[in-house]
Amino acid sequence: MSRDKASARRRLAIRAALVTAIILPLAALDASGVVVEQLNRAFTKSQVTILKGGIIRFSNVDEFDHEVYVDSPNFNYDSYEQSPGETAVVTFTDAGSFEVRCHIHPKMHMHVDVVDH
Amino acid sequence: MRILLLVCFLAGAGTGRAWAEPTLYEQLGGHDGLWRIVDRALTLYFTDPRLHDDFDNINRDWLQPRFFAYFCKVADGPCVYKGRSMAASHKGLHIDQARFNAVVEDLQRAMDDNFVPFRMQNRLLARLAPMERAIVTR
Repeated sequence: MSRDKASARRRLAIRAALVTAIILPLAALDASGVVVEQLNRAFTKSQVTILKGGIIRFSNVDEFDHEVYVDSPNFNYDSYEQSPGETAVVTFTDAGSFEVRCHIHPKMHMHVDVVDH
Repeated sequence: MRILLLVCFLAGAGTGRAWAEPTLYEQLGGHDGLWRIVDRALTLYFTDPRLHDDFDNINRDWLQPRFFAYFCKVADGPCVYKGRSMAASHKGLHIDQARFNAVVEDLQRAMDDNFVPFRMQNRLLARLAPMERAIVTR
């Protein structure tokens, strides 16, 4: 009986650890958004997958301007000129695949996959 | 006497209008002339090895209208420049004197290629000269 209790406690501890290690960080990430930096005229991530309605924060850590944009049939966004230190917050409201680019620096691009819940 | 005054007034007004100094923008050929100068200058900037690091991975289609609007405003043209100040827009680019000089040389060449008289070139360069303090930061 006490062995069963110990086993149940162990299973509970493992579940708690899993929740803490995997599920809670994902939930927190979903709430605060994925952070992508703009550094040396490039995005620091080349591909990101997020849930529909998820947020990506584009943080300009370069010393000069950027201008993030998405131009697709079902989703459009333009940050306009984004000064050093500024963060552009983009909420992807539709599922699909999107190319994120910079108006000023044409070699900057990043792929975003937005999936349904 | 009244007729004499009226004749003098009309003559003066007419003379003043006829002798009004054209703006530098007009002297540079107005919209089309200035656009050709800017277009040639940017072609030179984008291919000048001395400026490779500055213009590599820059969208010319994004830059050219802004560049034109700034020059147009500096030359007293009818344009509104909505961009940021020269200091703000060049901050962090670490432009040194050699690269600034290269930009000026290419601009002079662009004006030469567009047959802009030397005197007009100097007038435009004189108006752009104060930019140096804002742009050269290294």
